[in-house]
Parts: sequence; C-alpha cells; structure tokens
Amino acid sequence: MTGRKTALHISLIAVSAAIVAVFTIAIRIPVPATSGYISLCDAAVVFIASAFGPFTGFIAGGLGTAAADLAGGYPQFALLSFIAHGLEALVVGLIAKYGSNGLLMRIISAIAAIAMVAGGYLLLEVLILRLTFPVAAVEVPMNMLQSGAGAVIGLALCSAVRKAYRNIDSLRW
Amino acid sequence: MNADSYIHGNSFYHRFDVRPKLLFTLLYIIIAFMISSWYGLLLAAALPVLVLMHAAGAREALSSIRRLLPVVILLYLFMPLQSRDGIPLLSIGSAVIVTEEGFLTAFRISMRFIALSSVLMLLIATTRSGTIIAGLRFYRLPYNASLLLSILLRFIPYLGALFSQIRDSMSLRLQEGKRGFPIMPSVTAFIVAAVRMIPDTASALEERGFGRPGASDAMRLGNAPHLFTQFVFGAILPLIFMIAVR
Repeated sequence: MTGRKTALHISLIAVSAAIVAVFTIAIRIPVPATSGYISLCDAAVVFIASAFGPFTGFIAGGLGTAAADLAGGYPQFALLSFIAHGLEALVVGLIAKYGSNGLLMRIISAIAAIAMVAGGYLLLEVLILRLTFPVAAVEVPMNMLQSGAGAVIGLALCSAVRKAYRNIDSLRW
Repeated sequence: MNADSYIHGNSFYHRFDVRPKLLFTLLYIIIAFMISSWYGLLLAAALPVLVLMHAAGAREALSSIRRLLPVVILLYLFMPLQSRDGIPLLSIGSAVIVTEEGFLTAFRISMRFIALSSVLMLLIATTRSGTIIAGLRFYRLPYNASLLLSILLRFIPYLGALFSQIRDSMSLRLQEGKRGFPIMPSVTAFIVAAVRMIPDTASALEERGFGRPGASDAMRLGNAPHLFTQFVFGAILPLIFMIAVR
C-alpha cells in the first residue's frame, strides 16, 4: 500500500513538474510594449499548488521551472527559479489549504505569488549570482507583471479544471 | 520540445565520465568565487567557453554567451556608477562618473557570472540528462528522487507535443482570418489530459517493479576506463588552476 502511494506521489510530482516546464517553455504571450514576452509558468505553479497542495506545489513548481531554465539555455538561473517558484507554490498552497475559497483569499494568493517571485528573484540574484541591487531591480516590474497575470490565470484554471475533471481532488495530499 | 540540451560530439569533454565531470563542475564554481585577480577571473570565464567551442562548436558557444549579454551589459551600466572610490577614469567637471575600482568590480562580477554559466552549459551540452541523473545517483541522490527526475525528463517532450496538438486543434475553432489560439480552452484541455496520466503512470511504475528489492540497481553506472585517473584530474585541475591564478 505504501509502495502504491509512493508511486502515485512520484507520478503526481513528475507530471506536475512537466506541466510547469511546458507552460514555461511553450506558452509565451508577447508584450508589444516591451518587445518581450510573459511566460505562463506562474499560472501552472499557482494551479498545481492550489489543486495538489503545498508540498507537491513546492517540488513540482521548483523542479519544473529549473528544468525549463536548464533546457532553455539559462542554467545559471535554475537554482534561483527552483527556490523562488518553489516558495511561491508553497505559500499559495498553504493559503489554499488553510484558507477559504472566497475572492479575498484568491486576492491574497495572487499578492503572495507576486511578492514571492519578484522579491525572491531580487534577493536571490543579489545573494547567489552576486548581481548588484540596481541590476537585479531592473527585472522586478516584469516579474510582478508575469507573476500577477500568472496567478490570476492559475486560479481561474483551477476552477475550470475542477469542473472538467472531478477526480482531481483525489490526487491531493 | 526537447528537455535535453545535449549536443552530439566526440570531444574529450564528451568522453569524460559524468562522475568526475560533476565533481569538476562543482569545484570550478567554488573556485570561480574564490579567485580575485582580474587575469584569473578572465581565464576562469574564458576556459569553459573555449572548451565549449571545442566540444559543441563555435556557433553553440557564441549563442550561449549571447544569452548572457543583457545581464553583463546592465552590470557595466550600473555598477561603475555605484562605486565612487578609487582612481577616477571618467569625470565631467568635478563630478566623478566612473572609477577604476567601480570598473574592476563590474568586471569581476561579470566574469564570475560568465564562468558559472558557461561551466554549467558545458556540463549539460556534453552529457545526456539521463547520464547526469545516474551521476547524481552515484553521489547518493535518493532512488525516488532519481526516478522522479527521469520521469520528468521523459514527460516534458511528450507533454510539449501534446500541447502543440491541442493548440493546433483549438486554433481551428477561431473565426476565419484570426490568428493564434484560444489560451484558456487550450490550457484547460491540456491540463486535464496531463492530469489523467498520473494514475496510469503510477500503475506503470508498479508493474515495472517499483518498491521491490533490486529495482534501484537499474540506475547505477558501471565502471568506466581510467575512472580513478579521471577523478584525480577532475579534482586536481581546478585546484592547480586556482593556485596558479589566485
């Protein structure tokens, strides 16, 4: 029985991390104002944390974004992504687990996601990559935009997927 | 979509066993943070780039460096303005804009950044991801974690292809003349299809012997020729480099 449960947990985390990686690499919405793009990795991270809980969210969110960085040619950011997006999922997952399902909690989840990603990358780039504060701060507005949009889409996705696949809650642990 | 950045080749770094290669990479990163001389840092950044050029080709190496350029440019734009101590290099009137100390600090940080990025790039460009996992298993990465990583690496290209199919079929539903694809229906359908695979994957793992004694032996690396010598080189070369240029 324990072996079956462990196999299910490994499959859940691996498939969830793969979903995060695919969202990071394949789904990019262009931002004409900056000629850049927004990846939907935060939407997947928020969805997985809300649907499957904080622990699955932490490992899958961290591993998925780190794998996408490694595959995408940014290996130096893999550790940062693991920590920032892992913590983002952990906080969102804890809010979803212990909070109510109301609008206020969703807003708090979105704000927590923005704070963890924008603040996390800023801090980690200064502490680990040894970039200077002004250089690291350049990315903050883009990270806030990406994580904010991702959180809104992720929470909407959670409701939509629950309607389409009712067994999803049986996978939560 | 490919989850592997491996570039096929037969260079000496390709043939280097993954276990000493991982040790070399870790030591090189530590040493890059310990070197303080400007010529040492320049060499620390240039060495993995040159090996990457040899192993993966100049085009791939330059493409990796190009990805680092925005951060490096930002460093040179902002860092000298912050550090005002030392010999002035550029002044406007009585205001000192750039000092030698500020320029050197930007140089040190950018060289460490390039060294760290390129030695990691060198590892993943010359080693298949499955082999890296087996190498990490040698360094006592738990079996369950190794299994999780190998399933993840197999699922990324598979789910990437699945998403492309769903996106293409969803784009056909758009009105004539419109381009792109409807994001919410596409990602919802994709996630539902992916989540449905979780119980099947768990059953497949059980059928393949997960949890039974001896199942973890499949991920072990065998003996490689001259493994001890490779380990000695992997550990000693970074140390000699550090002593020589520190």
